[in-house]
Amino acid sequence: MNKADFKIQIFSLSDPIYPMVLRLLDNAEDAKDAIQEIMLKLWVKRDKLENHPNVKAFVFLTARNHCLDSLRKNKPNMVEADLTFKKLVTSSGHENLAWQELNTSILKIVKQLPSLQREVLMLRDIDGYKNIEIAFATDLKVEHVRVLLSRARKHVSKELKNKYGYESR
Amino acid sequence: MNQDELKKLIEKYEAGASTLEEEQLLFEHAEHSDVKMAAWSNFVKQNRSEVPQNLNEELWHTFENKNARKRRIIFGIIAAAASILLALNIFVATPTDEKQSYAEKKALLEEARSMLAETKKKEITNEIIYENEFIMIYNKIEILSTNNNQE
Repeated sequence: MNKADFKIQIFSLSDPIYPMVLRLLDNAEDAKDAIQEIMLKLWVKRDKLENHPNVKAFVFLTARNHCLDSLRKNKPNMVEADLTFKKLVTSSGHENLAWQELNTSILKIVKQLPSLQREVLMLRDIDGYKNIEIAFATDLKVEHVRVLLSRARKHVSKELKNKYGYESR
Repeated sequence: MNQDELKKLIEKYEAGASTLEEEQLLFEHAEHSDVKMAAWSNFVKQNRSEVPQNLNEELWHTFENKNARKRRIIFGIIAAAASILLALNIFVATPTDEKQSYAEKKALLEEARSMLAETKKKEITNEIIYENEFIMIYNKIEILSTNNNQE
């Protein structure tokens, strides 16, 4: 694979992986640096990637694993649930107190979810990925992603209904 | 979007069967739906991040520079190693210039001369002592240039 092919087939995926990398690393500069490192890793493997049956899936998976490894390395004591929420957890500087309260409440609910459901929900609703892309990043089947997503949304909906259901509109 | 449409869309959303476009529409109209959906939609909108403009080009530019720098470093290392090897090769392959002193040269010359003297052709002369038709008795004399040996 030459440089031009690499740019078109692999490097062009920098944009799609950015939301996930940013959410995990919680810093725009760190996210850009991480994408550079991911792309350098992929550049080294470019000859093997040429014959890979699903390059996009490989790039998504590599990006997610790179971020999680980086988080574990820098914060070895961080629990798994927080790894996927770094950005959301630290966005408490919001000036609106009502929003902060809402954010905290929803985070609590989302954290109760099993890890895969939580990750799938974040990838879909926060990062805006298609189910097929989520399947790539998590190494799951698309149908499994849909099931996990449905369970996660229903759980969040139920918990939010319990919390805010008494309010009338 | 009326309430029925919203309700159906929420059901589809919770079943994980909605498209990204439908979900976008749902989050935009969530304020007019139930409270839980409005809360979730607010959370989603606040935490979403946009991809910066020209991100790909910006990253590619940095990536190329990094790669070029890496190539330059590798080339530098190879060039340095080649230079060292070449220098070593020249040092090892060149015969040392062993200049001899006058005394050494003289000693060598003397040694050569003495060797030459030992291998000098012997001069052989036969001194006849008795001779007739059938027999001849003679004395063989070998004469070297430096000393004479008589047999």
